Amino acid sequence: MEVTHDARLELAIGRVLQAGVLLAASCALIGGVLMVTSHAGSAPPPLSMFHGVEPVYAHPIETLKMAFRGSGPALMQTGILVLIATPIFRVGASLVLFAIRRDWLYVVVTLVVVVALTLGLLGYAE
Amino acid sequence: MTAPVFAILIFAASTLGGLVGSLTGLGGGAIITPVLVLLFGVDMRYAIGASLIAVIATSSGSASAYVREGYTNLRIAMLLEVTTTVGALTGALLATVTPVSTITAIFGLVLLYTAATTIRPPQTRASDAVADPLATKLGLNSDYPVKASDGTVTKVKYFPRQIPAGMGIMFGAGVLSALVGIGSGIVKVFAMDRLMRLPFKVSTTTSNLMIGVTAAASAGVFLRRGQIEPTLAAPVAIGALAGSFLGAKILPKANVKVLRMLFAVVVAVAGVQMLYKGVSAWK
Repeated sequence: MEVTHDARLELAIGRVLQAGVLLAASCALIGGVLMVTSHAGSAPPPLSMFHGVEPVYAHPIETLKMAFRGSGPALMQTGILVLIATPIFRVGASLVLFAIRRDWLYVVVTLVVVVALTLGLLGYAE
Repeated sequence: MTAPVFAILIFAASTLGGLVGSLTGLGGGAIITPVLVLLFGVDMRYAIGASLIAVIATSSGSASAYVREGYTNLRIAMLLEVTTTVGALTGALLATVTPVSTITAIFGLVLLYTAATTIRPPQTRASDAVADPLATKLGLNSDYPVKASDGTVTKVKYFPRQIPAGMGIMFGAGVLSALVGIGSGIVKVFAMDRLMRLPFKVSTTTSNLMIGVTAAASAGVFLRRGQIEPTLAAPVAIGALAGSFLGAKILPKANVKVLRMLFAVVVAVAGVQMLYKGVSAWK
């Protein structure tokens, strides 16, 4: 009867997640401060009726470009993009570490998850 | 109200939601989404997008603390993620053809179920002492550390069972997660606790780790659909994260029994209101 424990593997993955969350929180906080200083008196976004966000926030590349130009909300959205990336990193890191351990069954299992995630991110679920 | 005041109020409410969600072990989504919809008048679609991001934040943020303690079973997590991610994609697809009123009503039912499980937590049965052939074949049998009162740590073996049924329920958890923007931790823990008979600490931590991946599977779809508004989702996510960290810090010292009951009542009231809001819009 085999009893397995992937302690080191899990620890490494946990650190990746932690770093990602810290980066995301920093982006969102700095973005928030930028928004507060530049739009102190503006009205809150109209969110009582759904009309979709400004198109720039629905496209990661456009969001990043705007964040580099110093836009607070775009930097906040960048933080959100980093957050969405953290679990994806986790799956990627698991794939690598399962491969290092020659745990081929779980390399295949993880690849299936990677495919499902890719389909969702690229929009084939629509 | 100005934009910064709005953001600060949202942040404060989400911190409270994250704190209570973490103390009661049922996640912040059950409080944050109703607060956004019922108190702040935010459209359900924006609230779902923001809640989904908060789910990812709290899952990734606490995962590293859990794995250090050696409870999470990564193989089980990855195996079950096959069906949760496919479920999440299905749910994201369903969300486009399901009226918002129906989604709101479903959310109300989920809240009522959450309240019910809070009042009467499911009985945990001891793990089987005999290995399941399929679990052995898949290498899912493992052990977890148990600390005795004298401080010594012993490793206790456990043997998961009913793997196909667990994977089936996980598909449903994925659908639900994408449809109403929650982590659906209660469904995940139900499958791992009751069906697969994992030790409680293993199932909660493994479920927590999986929740982020499930949410990420549908987050891309919501992002492109314009449901993730930065000035709403960022304060919600950071607030939920701060609240859950605070919760983890005070959890060992807190008496959560009274809080759980209070939480159950609040969630039940929110559930009835969401159900009413959804059903009354059917015409």
